[in-house]
Amino acid sequence: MYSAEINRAQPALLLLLIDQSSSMAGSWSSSGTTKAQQLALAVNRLLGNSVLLCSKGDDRIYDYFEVGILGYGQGVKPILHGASAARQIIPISELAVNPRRVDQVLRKVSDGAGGLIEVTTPIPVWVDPLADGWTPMVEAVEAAEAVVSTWCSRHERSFPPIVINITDGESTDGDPRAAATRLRALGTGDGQALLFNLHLTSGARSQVLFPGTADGLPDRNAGRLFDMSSPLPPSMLEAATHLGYEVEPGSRGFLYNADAVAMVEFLDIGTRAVTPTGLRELTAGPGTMR
Amino acid sequence: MIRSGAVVSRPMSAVTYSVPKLGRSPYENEDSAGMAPATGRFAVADGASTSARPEVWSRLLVTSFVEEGLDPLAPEVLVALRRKWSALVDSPSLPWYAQAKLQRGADSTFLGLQVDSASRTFRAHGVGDSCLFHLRGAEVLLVGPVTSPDDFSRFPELVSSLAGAEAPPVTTLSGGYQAGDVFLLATDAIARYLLVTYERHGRTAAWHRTPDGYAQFVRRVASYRRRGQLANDDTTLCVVRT
Repeated sequence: MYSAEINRAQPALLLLLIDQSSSMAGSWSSSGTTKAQQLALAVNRLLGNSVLLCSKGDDRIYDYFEVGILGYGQGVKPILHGASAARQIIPISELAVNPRRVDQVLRKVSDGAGGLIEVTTPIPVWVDPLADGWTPMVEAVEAAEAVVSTWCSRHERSFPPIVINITDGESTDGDPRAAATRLRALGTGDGQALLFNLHLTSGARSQVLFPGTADGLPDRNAGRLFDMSSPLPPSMLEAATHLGYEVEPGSRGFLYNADAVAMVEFLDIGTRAVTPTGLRELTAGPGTMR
Repeated sequence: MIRSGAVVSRPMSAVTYSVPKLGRSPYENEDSAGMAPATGRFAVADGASTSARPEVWSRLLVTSFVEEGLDPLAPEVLVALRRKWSALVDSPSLPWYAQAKLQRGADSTFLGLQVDSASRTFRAHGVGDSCLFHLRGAEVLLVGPVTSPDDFSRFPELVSSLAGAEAPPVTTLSGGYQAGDVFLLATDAIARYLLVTYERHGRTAAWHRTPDGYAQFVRRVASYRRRGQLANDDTTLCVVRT
């Protein structure tokens, strides 16, 4: 289980549920940015990294992933360019050529001779910050359930769908745990769908990363999101361990109040751990992952 | 380190097979292999498929060792190879994702073998989990750098094409040999299979003792993959008969 090779004939599904409710305009941690801004940053980073995993460094993009994003705030709707209510999932090659814009960032890298040179790095943007409306999380998870159900029926041999919900916690249309349980019960021949949750907060509380129990979580919303989260399968446990996180069998795909680094690494774990031939080919060099 | 330059050698024979992973064309094979029996130099390299243009990088490493008589892991050679990789793959007309990917560089294993038939010695060095087998009949006299099928890590050391990347640790294997001994240079999928069969049966699978033939190698790879005995990965084997 959770070992299906991902290739162009049997791609994996990456489905993001992103909270676009009004409360996301609140400040994120003590960073000076809003939760909506941090969410957009993390999601764009995840999508960019996912595209790069499928890039060969030339014109080719291999369709290892199919991707969808459902925004929830003013209702629940697909937000990627090219997606629609009738077509909520698009192949990653289509995502790659349709960012809203590509920003350019100058950064300094080693020249290999003890000096630094400036290079321009393209930063694609698919999602802009948005904070408007309620938090219909139940509706969002139910919409994901429908997408995942259809997808699984057509991809019986694929790695199970990976659904990542990013929110500041408070569902306004009820308790989403029942919908989450139904979603996690779906799957392919390779295992049940994985539902992970990333809980953004405004407070200065300690972060809780990949917990195995709900002990120590500060409030009801965090507890609910923990309950909704799947345990990490072995390949992702290995990925998390390699990145230095203390995990054990039973650790859930749930982060509370994570810092930016943990957030990006968490999002990456879901995709990197399941990429063709696994993590072994994803290292940048000795002991590092990009 | 292996010295560069030509080596006087007795005739050796060598053959190289490489099969891409199932579902990919030969043009998408990211392993590279090279052999020069006249100089006793042989090499394989396994380009990391999720890195940028790994097939170009693995080929540069192998060519440097086998055809140019250089040590691609020597710092000054590595600097030049990295520049060469960049010049070969970079282009201003590439889409954003290719440009961003290239900035992350290519990664590859490397294994080079130098056989000196005059002194009946060999010396191999490399980075990562491409393996050398020294065989006498069905007996494995030496294998490395991975010595057990359980030790194939998901995080092997790799040589990066990035200018600023740290030099990875190099493993060296060396010894003497007798005429008739066989050396195998194998990328990880087939190396793991060889180690599994050796652990189970006390002898290696006889891939190298069958008549040379690419078609037969391809059939065998397909058959072992179907049975789940061989991982679906680019699969490369260089057989050196002394």
